[in-house]
Amino acid sequence: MNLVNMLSWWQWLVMAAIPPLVVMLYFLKLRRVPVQVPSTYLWKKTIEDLHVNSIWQRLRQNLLLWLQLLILLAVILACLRPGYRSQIAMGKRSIFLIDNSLSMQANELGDSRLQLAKNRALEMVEAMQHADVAMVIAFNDRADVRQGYTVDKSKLRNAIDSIKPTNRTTDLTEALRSASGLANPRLTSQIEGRGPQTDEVYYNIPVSEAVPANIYVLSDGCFAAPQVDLGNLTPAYIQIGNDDAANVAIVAFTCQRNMEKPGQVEAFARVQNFGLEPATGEATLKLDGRMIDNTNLELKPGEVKGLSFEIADLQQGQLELQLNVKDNLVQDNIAFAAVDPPRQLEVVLVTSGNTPLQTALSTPQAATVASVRTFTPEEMEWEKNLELASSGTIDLFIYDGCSPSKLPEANTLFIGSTPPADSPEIPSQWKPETKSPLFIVDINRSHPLLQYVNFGGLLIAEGICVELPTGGTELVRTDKGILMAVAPRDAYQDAVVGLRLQDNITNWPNRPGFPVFLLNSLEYLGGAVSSSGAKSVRPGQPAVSNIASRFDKVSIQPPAGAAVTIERDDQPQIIFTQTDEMGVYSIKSAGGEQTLQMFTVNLFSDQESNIAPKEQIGVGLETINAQKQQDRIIRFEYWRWLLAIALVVLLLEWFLYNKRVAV
Amino acid sequence: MAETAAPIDLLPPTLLAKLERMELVSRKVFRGRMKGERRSRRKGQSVEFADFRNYTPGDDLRFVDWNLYARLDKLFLKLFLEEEDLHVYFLVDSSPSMDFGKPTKFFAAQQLAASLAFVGLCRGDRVKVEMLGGRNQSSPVMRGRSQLHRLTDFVQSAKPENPFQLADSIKQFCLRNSGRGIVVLLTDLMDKSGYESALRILVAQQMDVFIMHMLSPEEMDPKLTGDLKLVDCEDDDETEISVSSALIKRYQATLAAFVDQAKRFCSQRGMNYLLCRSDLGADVVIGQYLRERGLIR
Repeated sequence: MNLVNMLSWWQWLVMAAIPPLVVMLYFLKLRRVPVQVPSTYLWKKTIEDLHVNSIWQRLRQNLLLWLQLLILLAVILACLRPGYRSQIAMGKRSIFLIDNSLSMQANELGDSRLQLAKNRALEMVEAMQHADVAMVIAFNDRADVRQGYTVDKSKLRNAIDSIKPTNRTTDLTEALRSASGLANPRLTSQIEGRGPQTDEVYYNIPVSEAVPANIYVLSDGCFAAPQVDLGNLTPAYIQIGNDDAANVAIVAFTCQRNMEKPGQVEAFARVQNFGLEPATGEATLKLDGRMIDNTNLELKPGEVKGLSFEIADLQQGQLELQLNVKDNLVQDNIAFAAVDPPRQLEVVLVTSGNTPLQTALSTPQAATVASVRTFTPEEMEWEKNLELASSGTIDLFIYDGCSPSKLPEANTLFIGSTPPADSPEIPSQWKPETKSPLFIVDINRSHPLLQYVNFGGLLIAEGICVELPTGGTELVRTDKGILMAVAPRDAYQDAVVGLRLQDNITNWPNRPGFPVFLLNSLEYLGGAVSSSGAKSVRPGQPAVSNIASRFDKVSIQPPAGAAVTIERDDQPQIIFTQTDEMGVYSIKSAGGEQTLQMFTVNLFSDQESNIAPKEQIGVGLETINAQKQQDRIIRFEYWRWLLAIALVVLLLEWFLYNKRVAV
Repeated sequence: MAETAAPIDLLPPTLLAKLERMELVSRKVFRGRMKGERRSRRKGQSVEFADFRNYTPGDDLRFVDWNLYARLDKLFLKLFLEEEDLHVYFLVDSSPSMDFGKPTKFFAAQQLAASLAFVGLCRGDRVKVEMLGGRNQSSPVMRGRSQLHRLTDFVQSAKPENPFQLADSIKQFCLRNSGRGIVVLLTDLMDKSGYESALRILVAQQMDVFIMHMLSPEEMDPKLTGDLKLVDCEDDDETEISVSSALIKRYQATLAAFVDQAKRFCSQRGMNYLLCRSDLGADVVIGQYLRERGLIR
């Protein structure tokens, strides 16, 4: 706010003389109407004490005089031409691109960057001239046109006010494409010189006349340079935020099961200090809202530090890592991970009939892990079942005493048989050989397949000894060779148990270790227990989940708000797109309480967490520097308003004079 | 502002009919001059027993109590109360300040004085109406309802006079009328030298004094606006005011204090005070307010 003197010194003298003149006139002007009364006795007594300072009393009670002085004051102020200078001169056609990504939630002296950007945009709207038009676009990783081109400032103000912060990352590309709609009209082809002898020449011409516009990017510049041709758009980058913004962020957080120690989960995190000052604080790990671990943090400027936590005996749960540090952006100080519950497996048993095996697969514990379909070897050759084997939807095939012509697209467990050779000409890598009797000499107890499996008292009259294929792991060795082994095959694993369970050639089916081994096989080979934690996606990104095909409908519970029910529609995967909220999302069967799977939404973006505002941004091949104070200055005047106030006061005085109320 | 009502309105027949049934009451017992209907301090010939006294030669034997003589063998004379007439004076302030209001305070005072005087005439009291002014104009003493025409002629003929001091006029009245009785003073008390000395003179006469304070509605709730120069109608004194709602409130507070002070002054000295708005009819004032105050029965 500043003033511009419009009058010379003698004009000011005249102006200064007017108010005292009005006051003097008020004393002279009083033309009192004589009124005869019975007695002035009581009136004299009434005004007796008013006679003290009677001049000022008279002035005090004279509202009309004060109103006239107010009019004069407004006129004098108008002569001083009060106004303020705007740093930006608005063009005829403007587009405001307001960044509402997560980094714009950074706190700047009590206000968020987004609020500062909105305030700045509002100032610019006020600076628009009467015929100027403008458009408002809010952008993060996608663009949202809040208001199309309009001259109506109130609509623009409402559009700017309605912009809310989001947790999304930033990408200017889509916003620039939306902005360039009118400025860079699409092209169409036109053929020139059409004729039998003439070569056809194509010209690209715009479908409409280009309307150049100024775009104002109100952002902190925390985004990658979009590869967009600006064409007729004249860009201006208005930098929001202070350079000394401090931020410590979790840039990665995940958890993993220790496959060698069932139940144990390890959580890993990476923390980075993006500020210019060292940061200290502590990191707190919570499991299902309960604090389970805590560690101190000390980070130098720019330092990245890894954190690891071990959690014993955890089947499923939600992990939350929180940094207690003082910085300008709190949204990236929290990260989520989840340990999925054991998955319900799809298992196919191929057998001609095996009571001990079928009994062991139908125990209550096995039933909670897997649903088992049984086919005979002949049925398995049906075309429908061959398609099933190659579809990849089955988690584990168990071949009992038989072998398929072609290995399925899944993990396999061969009992009393071995995987077939890839082609008839090439012998099988396993090289099975029947031998008898067999005595166990070594057991690989550290392997998950043999966890808690007791081979004590095992008698083997006859068994198949195999050779270990490349990359395979020996599980049980007998005096005559390898009895049990597991070997990788492309993305799958094949396990072989060289024991036929029929014909009483071994007492293993009657031993307690047998059902335990089968359960281990389901969990390890079937992948019932995922070794890695739940998937994590960025805010706003779609989350894809593999849920067993028998669930036609699932409900997804976001961190806040009501659950969303999704129908599968014969799709192999469930895709969920409403992931704006950061936290853990649980997928449950529709109408059920059992959690099938979880996924998390975390920022994990160096680009968003590095909140120091950028001095320049790149668009295509152009580099745009942040606008500074020395840009063009425009002055906005208030004198019209002052004169309007004077006019209103004049009307009020006229009204009061005529009403003569409480003068 | 001044407005005078037509004489015909002074005592309308309906009012006269009501007044005939009324009677003036004095809280004090005074000696009269002639035989009348009121109890007197004198002993005389009424039916109401007053006292005994010893017989002295020459007394009328008709009043000797023969029963007492038979018992005590002594002569006693029975005394009876005398019934005499009552002096009733009506003093009407005829200063120019009374000639204001709608109707004027002076007209309201005339009507009240005539009405009360008529009540007195009907009861055989000695009635006298006096117009207070620089030179008091007084009616002859009237008695009996046949004097009604003389009464109305006198009252109607009176006009507001030049300014005067209330105390001087009261003093003149008291010098000329030494007899005791009821005095009804109808005035607006707007005397810049103060009304207190005038009322003290009346109190000293040991009369039964009624002060009827006449105020017009325009005085009680002035409808004034703007910047005004108020001119006193009696002494042309000028007061400049700029009317505001605050000033009107202050004026009303001053008036209320003035009335309150007058009321207190009167009650402390045994006088009856009654505030009369000039726009209230005589029948309302007499039939309601004065009956409550005990001047009328």
